[in-house]
Amino acid sequence: MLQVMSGGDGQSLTDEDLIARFQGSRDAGCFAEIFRRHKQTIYRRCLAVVWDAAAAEDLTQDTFVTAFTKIDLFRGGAFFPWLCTIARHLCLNHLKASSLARTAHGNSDDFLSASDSDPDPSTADDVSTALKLLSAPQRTCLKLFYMEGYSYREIAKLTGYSGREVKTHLQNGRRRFEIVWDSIQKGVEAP
Amino acid sequence: MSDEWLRKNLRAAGKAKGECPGTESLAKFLGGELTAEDSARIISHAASCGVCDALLERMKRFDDPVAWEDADRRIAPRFGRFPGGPDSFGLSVLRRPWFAYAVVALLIYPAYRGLVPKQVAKEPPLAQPVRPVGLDSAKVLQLDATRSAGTNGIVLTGKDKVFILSFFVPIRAGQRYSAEIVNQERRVVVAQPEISSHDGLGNFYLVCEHGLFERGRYVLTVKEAGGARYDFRFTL
Repeated sequence: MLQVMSGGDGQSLTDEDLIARFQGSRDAGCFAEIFRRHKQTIYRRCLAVVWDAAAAEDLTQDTFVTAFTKIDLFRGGAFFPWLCTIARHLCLNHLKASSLARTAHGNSDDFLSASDSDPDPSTADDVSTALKLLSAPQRTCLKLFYMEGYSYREIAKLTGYSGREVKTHLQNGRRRFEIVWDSIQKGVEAP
Repeated sequence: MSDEWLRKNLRAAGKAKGECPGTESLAKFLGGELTAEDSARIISHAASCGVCDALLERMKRFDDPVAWEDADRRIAPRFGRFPGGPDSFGLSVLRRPWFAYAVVALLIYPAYRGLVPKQVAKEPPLAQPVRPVGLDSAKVLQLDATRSAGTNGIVLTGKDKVFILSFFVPIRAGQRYSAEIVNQERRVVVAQPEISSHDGLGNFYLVCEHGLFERGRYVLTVKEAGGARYDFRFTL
């Protein structure tokens, strides 16, 4: 099989054919062809998420190693989306591990003591509505800062924004939230 | 509106979030592998959880060709590409065994340097751009189902004959999807009976004729034949 693969035949096979062969024969050549085809694509996707070339390389390698060891769990269908799900899972684990030093988010002491009173359900609904009307970066930063009690630096690490961008999103987010909140309380549409 | 007020009320709004889903569930959600019910549960949780929302937001870059190109442009020139590429070189190589072998080889066989023709590895083709061919200058509005009706800073002018709506839907295999854009008077402006993801992963784009749209708010609704529905709000 290896000779067939190195003879160029593997290049004409689909991913699914290669995986079917690999599942049947454990021929490393089939998997090598899969790696050759997709390593750059997976790397670019991981890089876009983690913004760290070394981490993206590691995640790419881990993705293929995981796919290699768990290939029996692949039940047919398109192979590339399955590979992407593995890569996404690893990226999420990486982001969580590198960004969330604390085990349970939002448990810093001053954060807890600042909000001991019982929530008013209607206010909570209005807050959720107002948050939805913010831009994605503003909403994310506001939620991480006020809801979860994260610092600027932690937010920057988790979101990938720079410290300056986090500050800007928080400032603009607060301003926008106030406008939206007033509109909701007055029962008019937010500008 | 004080910081104290925001802290108290945002935290109160986040109290109903319950336990966070595992990364495997989030990955499956992003890959469109969950049922509509489970997907809705994750969307609902993310609405009241800052961390999961931030993770999902950041993970959108995984499927966003614009983010890939941005990372290529801003990081790859500094650190090189994936090992095996022609320009692969970064600090991380120092902890790789093959780097030590390469150093030894260079020290032992200096005479060979310059004699052996340089092998240039063939790069795999780059991913499909988000813009359709011929629309390189068209402006792209990146939409998000859980976001406000903002324009992401995109301002259309009279010169923009067309613009592109780019969005992500957690697609499921074998399902068909349709799209419809209604204006603030709920009049249908565009109806597309069938749309398909350009990368097969749930990323879509719709090329829209600017002349059909006036200034105002719009809702793009993507419907799955299986019943799921996703609304994207935007303003022109």
